Amino acid sequence: MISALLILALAGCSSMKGSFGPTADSEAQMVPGTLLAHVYPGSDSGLLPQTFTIVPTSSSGYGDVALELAQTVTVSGTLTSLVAHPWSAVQAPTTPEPFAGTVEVSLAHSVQNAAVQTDELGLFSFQIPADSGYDLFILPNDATAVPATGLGHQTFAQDTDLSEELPEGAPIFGRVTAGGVPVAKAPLVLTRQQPLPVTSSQVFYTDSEGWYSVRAPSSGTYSLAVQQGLSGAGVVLPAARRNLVVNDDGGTLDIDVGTLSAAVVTGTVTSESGAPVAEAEIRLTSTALDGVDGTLEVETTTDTNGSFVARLIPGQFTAEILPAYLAPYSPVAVPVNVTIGSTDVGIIALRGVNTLEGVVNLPDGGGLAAGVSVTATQVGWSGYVYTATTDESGNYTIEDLPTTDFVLLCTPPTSSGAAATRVDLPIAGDPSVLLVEGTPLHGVVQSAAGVSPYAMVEVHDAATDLVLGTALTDENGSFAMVIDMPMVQTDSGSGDDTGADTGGHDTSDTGGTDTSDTGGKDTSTTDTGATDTGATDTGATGGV
Amino acid sequence: MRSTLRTSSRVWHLACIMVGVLALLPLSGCFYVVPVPWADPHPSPQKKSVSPDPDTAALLTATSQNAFVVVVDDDDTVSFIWTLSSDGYVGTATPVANEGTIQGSQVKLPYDPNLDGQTLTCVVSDGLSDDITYRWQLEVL
Repeated sequence: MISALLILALAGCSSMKGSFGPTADSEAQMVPGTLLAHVYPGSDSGLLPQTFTIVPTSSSGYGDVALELAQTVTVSGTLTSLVAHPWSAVQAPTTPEPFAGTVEVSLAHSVQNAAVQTDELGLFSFQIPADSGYDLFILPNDATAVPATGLGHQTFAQDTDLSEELPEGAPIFGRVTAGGVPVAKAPLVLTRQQPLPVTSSQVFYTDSEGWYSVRAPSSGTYSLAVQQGLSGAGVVLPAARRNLVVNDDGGTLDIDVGTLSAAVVTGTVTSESGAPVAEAEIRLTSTALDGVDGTLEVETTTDTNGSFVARLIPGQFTAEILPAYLAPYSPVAVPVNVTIGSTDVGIIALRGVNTLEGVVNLPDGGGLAAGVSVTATQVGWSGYVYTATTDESGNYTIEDLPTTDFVLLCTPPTSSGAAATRVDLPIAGDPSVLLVEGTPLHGVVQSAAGVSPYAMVEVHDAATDLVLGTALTDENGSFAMVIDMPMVQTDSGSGDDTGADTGGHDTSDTGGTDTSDTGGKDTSTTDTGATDTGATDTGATGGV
Repeated sequence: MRSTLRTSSRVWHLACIMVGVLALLPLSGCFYVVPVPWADPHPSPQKKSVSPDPDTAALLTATSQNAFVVVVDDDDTVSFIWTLSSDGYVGTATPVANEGTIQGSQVKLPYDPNLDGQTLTCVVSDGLSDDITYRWQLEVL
C-alpha cells in the first residue's frame, strides 16, 4: 500500500498543491526575498511548531502576514514486516512479524517533525501538524533483517491510520577488511541516495569474520559507510564510504579501509600561566591517514589535571582544544602528527579571554541606538553565544569573550525602524555596528481556535537560512519585527502571483506564475497583488 | 506533696492574671498593637509559553531541528540558564524579546547520541524572586 501511495504521490505531484519538496529545483526558482518563518507556539495550545513560507508582496515589503497554524493530527498504525534473517536471505520469508524500530517523519526546511518507536506489537502513534510534503522514514532496529524504508510526499491532513506490511527488500552482502584482514564488529550504515528521500539505516555490524548482510528497500543508488569505532581487535576504525548500485536482486560490496595500526595521543592543556584546564573538549580530526582510505574524528576531554588521552590511528590530525562555555580561555587548534605507538603533544597553553566593548548606531546618522540586543555567535569552534544590550548611549559590553571570530546580530527595538543587522567580527575587528534600514515584517499567528499569544517567530532568509530576526507574539497573537530584507530583484506588481506556493493551506491561488516552493506552509497577506488567501486547504490530495 | 500543690497554685494564679490583663487592655483602648510588616514577595517570572511540553520526553532525531523555547512575562530583566545534566552549560542559547515585558530564550540541540538520557534544564530567574525551572528528558532515536 505504501508503495502504491508513493507511486500515486509521485505521479500526482503536478496536481498536488503543496508539494513541499526541498528540492534544488524549487530552490533555484525561489523568489528573491523569500523568508521562512519557524513558529513555536506554547505546548499548552496543543499546537506544534510549524514553518511558513513568506514571500514579498512587493519589492519593499511583505504586507500584513497571517500565519495560520494547522491543527495537530495523529498518525498511528501497526507495522509488520517480513523478516529475512541473515544468511538465509535466499529463502523468501513468509510470516509477517511485528515491526521493531523507529518511525520518523519530517518536512524539509521546516521544524515540523516527529519520531516514535514501535512497541512490541509493532504499534506506533505520533502527532504532527496537518500538512503535506512530509518525508516518512520507517527504520528497523535490525537493518540486516528488514529494509529501512523512506517515502516522500506524504500528506497528513487528518488523523491517519498507517498500518502496513513492509516488504522484505533485497539483500546486500559483503565483507569489511583492513589491509586484507577481516574486521569484526565493524559498524555500518546503508544509505539510499536515489530514489529520494535519502534514507539511512540504523547501524549494523560485521560478524566475527568481517561479513555483513543488510537489506535494501528497493533498487537504486546506495552508499555503504563504515562508521568509525573500535574494530574487533581493539584498533580504531576510520570512517569510510563506498557507493554501489543495487538491482532488484540486491548487490554485493566489499570494503577494505587499509592497514590499521594502533596509536595513542596524550597531552596536557593549561592556561598561559600553567594552570591545568579541566573539562576542555579535545576534538581530533584527521586531514590524512597513513595508508588508510577514510577519515577519523575523535573527541575526548581533559581531566582535572588538564591531561587527555585519545586512541587514534597514524596520520595527520588537527587538534582543536575547546574550553567549556564561560571558562576564561580561548580555543586553539594545533596540527598533530600521530605515529604508531604513543605520541605526546606536550603542553598546549590556552590564551585568556577579552572584553568586547562596542557601540551601535542607528542608520542615516540617526544617533546612538539604545536597547539593542547584541548576540555574538562564535564562528566555528563550539558555536557559543554571548549576549548584551546597549545602554542609553548605544554602548554594549560583553565580558569574557574568547579570542575567535564572531558574528554579531544586533536587534534594535522595533520602534527604531532599523533592522536586525548582522556583522562579521573577526579577531581584533571593529566592534562598532551601524544598523541598516529595515523592512517591517508584521502579522498575526493564529489557528482555527483563535490567535496564538506568546509564540516565538523566527524568520530566516530562505536562500541562506541565516536568521534575520525573531519576535514574540503578544496577547493578541500579533508580532512585529524589522528585518534586513534579502535582496529582491523586481516585482512587477502586475498581479502575477510571484510569491504563492500553493501549499496545503491555500484555497484560491489563481495567480499566474508560482515560482517558489521552499518547504513551508504559505501565508496570506493583505496585499492585493497576491490572490493567496491563506485559508486552509481541506482538499489536499493524498492521505495515507 | 504540699510543696507541689503550692507551686502549682501559684502558677495558676499568675496565668489567670496575665490572661485578664491581656483581655482587658484592648477593651480599654489603650493597647496598640503594631501591625506586623508584611512585604509583598517580588513576583516571579510568569510563564507564558513553553515548547515542547516539559512533561514529555523530548526526542532528538537526525532529521529534526531540536529547538526548545521558554517565554515568560516579567518587569525585570530575566536570565535563562540552560544546562545539560552531564555537559554543563549549553552555550548556544539565544534570547528573544518584544518591546514589552515578554521575554524568551531558545536553545537548539544538535543530533548527538551522547545526549541520550540527559536532562535539559532551563532556569528562569529575575534575581529577585523564586526561580522557575523547566526540564526535558532527552531521548535520542
